[in-house]
Amino acid sequence: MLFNSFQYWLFFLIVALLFYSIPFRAGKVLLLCASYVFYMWWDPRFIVLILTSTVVDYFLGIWLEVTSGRRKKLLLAVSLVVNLGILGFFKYYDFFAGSIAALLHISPSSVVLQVVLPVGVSFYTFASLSYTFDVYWGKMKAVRNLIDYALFIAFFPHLIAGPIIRARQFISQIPRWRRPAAIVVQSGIILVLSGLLKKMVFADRFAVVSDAYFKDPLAHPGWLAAWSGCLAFFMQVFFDFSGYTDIARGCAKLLGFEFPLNFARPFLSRNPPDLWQRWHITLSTWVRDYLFMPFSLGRKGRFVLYRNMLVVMILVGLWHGANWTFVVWGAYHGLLLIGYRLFDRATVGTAIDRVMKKRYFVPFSVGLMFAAFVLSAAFFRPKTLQTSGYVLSALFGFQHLTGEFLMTTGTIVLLFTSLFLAAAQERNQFIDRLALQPPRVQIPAYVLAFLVLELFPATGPVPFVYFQF
Amino acid sequence: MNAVSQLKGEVYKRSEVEPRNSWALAKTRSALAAVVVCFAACLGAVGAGTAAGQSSGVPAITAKPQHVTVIDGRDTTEIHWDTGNGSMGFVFVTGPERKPVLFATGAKGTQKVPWIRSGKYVFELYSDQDRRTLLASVVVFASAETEAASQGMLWRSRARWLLVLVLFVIVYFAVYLSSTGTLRTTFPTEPTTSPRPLHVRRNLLLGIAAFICLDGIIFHSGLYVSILAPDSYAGRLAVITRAEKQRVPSGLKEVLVLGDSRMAEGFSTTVADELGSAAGFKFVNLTEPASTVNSWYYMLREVDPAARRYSAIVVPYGIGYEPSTADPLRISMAAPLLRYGDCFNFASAFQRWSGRFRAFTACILRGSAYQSDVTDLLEHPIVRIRSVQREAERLHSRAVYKGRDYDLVGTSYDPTTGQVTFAPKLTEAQRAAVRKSLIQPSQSDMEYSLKLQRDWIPRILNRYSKSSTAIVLTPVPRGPFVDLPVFSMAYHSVLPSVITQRTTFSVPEQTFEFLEKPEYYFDAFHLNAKGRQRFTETLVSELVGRLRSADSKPHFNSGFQLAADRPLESNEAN
Repeated sequence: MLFNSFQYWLFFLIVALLFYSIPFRAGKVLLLCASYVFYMWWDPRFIVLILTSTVVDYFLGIWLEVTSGRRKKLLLAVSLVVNLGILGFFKYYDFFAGSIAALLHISPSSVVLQVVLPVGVSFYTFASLSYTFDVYWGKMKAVRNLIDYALFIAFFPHLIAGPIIRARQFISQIPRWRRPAAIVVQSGIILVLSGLLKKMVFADRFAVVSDAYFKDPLAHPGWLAAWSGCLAFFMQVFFDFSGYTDIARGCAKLLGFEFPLNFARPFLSRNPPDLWQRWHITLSTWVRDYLFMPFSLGRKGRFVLYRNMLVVMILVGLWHGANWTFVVWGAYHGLLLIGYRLFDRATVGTAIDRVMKKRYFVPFSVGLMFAAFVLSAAFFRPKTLQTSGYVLSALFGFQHLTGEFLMTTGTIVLLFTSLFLAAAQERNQFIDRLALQPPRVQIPAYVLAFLVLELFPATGPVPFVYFQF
Repeated sequence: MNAVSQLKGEVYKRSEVEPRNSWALAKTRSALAAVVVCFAACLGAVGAGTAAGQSSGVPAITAKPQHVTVIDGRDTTEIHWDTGNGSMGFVFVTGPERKPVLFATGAKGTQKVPWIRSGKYVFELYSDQDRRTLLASVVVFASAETEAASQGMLWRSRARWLLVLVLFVIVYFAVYLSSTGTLRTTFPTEPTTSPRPLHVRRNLLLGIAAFICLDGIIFHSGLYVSILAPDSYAGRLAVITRAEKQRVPSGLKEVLVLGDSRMAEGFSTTVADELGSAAGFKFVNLTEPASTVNSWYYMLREVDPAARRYSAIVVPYGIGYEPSTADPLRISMAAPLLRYGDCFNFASAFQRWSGRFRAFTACILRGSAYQSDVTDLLEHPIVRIRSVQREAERLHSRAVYKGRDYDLVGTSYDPTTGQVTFAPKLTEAQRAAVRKSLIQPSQSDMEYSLKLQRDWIPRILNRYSKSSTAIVLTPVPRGPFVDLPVFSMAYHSVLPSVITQRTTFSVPEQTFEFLEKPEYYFDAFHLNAKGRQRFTETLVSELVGRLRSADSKPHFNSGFQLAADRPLESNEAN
């Protein structure tokens, strides 16, 4: 049941109508049941995993709250083993087993189990872990209502591809729940429309170019083809995931819940730390709070800090998928962060620093960061490091060939339109503020959105990229 | 410093930067350098792996470039091959319409090919000279380009780069204006309060209503249909329907011929008019490849609104298949002919729910059926305008089309093994066309084709039930390989006799069996020029003779209704 399918919207309509026609207490149960139905629509077998994770963390959370000392640590370890065990087995077993087998010159087929990856496992595992950690650290009280906790884990708008919700953010909304105000509903509708536009019009159109290139990079030699392919892929991933998040946030708003922001115009990032403030915010903050901080607290020395940065970014890469290409992707971003920190320290107070702070230089910083991020597509999309190496050599012009410009005029216009809209949104939040506009602005905006959705989607519902993570 | 800000760059203040520790910095730099070196080495290893991969047992043959644009008659590509194990290799090349010839030999090597002309060249690496063991192959595609076309391409490319430059400048200023100087660390989300009451539902409903109206004005009014791409299926159907609608009646007894690609290749209006004019008949050809019986129904409604324009309408029937993957094509093709009221009838003609939903949507929101057409129009507006202006030319070339001038004599097909033995005279392109046509449709695709005919031919009959127009059903010759499983079904099982009995007459099932030979076909389904001539002659002689005799019994199909079909009739009234 894809967010961009008719099925989903029929499902959502039925759920929303039923939810608002019954008291909230019963409504919670309805939402939970609907979420399980939604999940089982993908593959009913994996409901067992989500139920296991839910029940284990619910009871462990209660015990964690009332225990202390070694036993508390043991309970935390149990939670980690269960959650990371599920994630590790389903997502990483084949990868590590295959890699070790290759290292020991054993036939990979004898150890690889071809495990099917359950949809959304990375997202709900992280959500569940955030709860355990928060209770362990005493940042929140254990949830005493199983329905509330289960709903936090399984609430269908965020279940498959995030945003990664924290227990604190979601569970605190349940006792305070009330029918959403008109402005919230209005914002929800705008978010849903914006998400559908991002996915069906922008992402799926860029996908045509990136698929054409990455299907067989060897058939499209030259730097121009490589840059077109990587650029299109970067745009596709952004619009795909950001579109999904917008729809998820919009649906949550329409049901009276708030999800955090996940993307804040990453095109306009000026440097690597800025990028991670704007790109997949819920993941980068999760990693910061539950991985980087605990490992860095109390440790001194810049080297340790940079090492931790690199390790954390490699883990972020690995979170995206069990493949060496993702490991290198994470390492690349780790090195970018470290490199930027070193450069920043080295240039502080110099003429370079002064020029870089000038407003007219900002677009150049943005362009440079944009290019650096586009470059990472060479590791993100290919399935093997060999292909990544080929794409990288093409990107840097080592093939001494120009190659084809794979982007059509339409895609070029779409690309610059997105950059322009991002800049406009950065300046005055015009999309968010649309909810406050009078009908003479809102109605034409609706008409335009519907018309674009009618005329310019790529054919057929295309699955979201982040479903595979 | 706060670990958080190290990672995220939050609240990073220069004043807080601790004094430089040269040792730490040096250590960090060396560590970083080590990582960079490792990374570079890793990439180097990857690159080496790529190069080594070809001599590590994997035979390979590559062409650079693989797509060649021939500007002055010929161009060059470079072939690189490697048997992978050091053994002798033989590279053969098969040019367009040529036999394979030995191109090069050796365990590995690189050779330039300076004689590439327009067409497809297959370079194959064999381990033996007798071409028994194929190790690897590569196909080089070469497309011819005239001087003018190449100039045009150059200008288009320059225009595209100019567009990129202009857009860059715009984006530069947009980013410049949007930047706040200092780095943002917080991002506001959607508003949660409003200073005045909002009318969410009213605005949304008004938006939806205005959108439907706008779609109606653009796409239902015929405004957009007039600029549909004439080369698209929908555009072609729209063009021929519009031309027929605007055609001045000839004053003769007009016979309209409908059909898909089999009729389009098989029926010649020129031949039919030569034969029929003496008897006072004029033939009108509304056959269109990929069209289906439901689109014929809508075409008839468009060109003959009063249901009395023609003396006879020839409707072909027979064994065929309709893949459900072609649903979007069928929807966009029929779209120019649809009305709001067709939603349910049109949607019911599709097998899958997704197809039904798309079809239903296309009736209400016609623009949804023209998605690729609109994109194409926006991307190439000038090409489209020129193309639309050449509508008369297209209609003329359609009228003078004589059919394909080659046959399949000497070609055989074994349906049990799927083996095709081609006549030596066939070119690679012709062989490819034959192979492509030798599909094995699924049972459901065949059933669906039958269902369409059984559902929609009665609708056509109902439409003309009170008219003097004779509806004539004709079988179409099946193909040169009648042993194909797809043809195992008898004609009489395609349409139940209750349907055929309601027609003015049906051309007998065996009429065209004599045409089911390789000499009359150019692929597995379509008649060639010779077959076209013979099919038209036979069909016209059947029609003219029987229509003349039918003239003596006017309106004999009027009022002939079956109880089982009455619900259909009520649908028509709606």
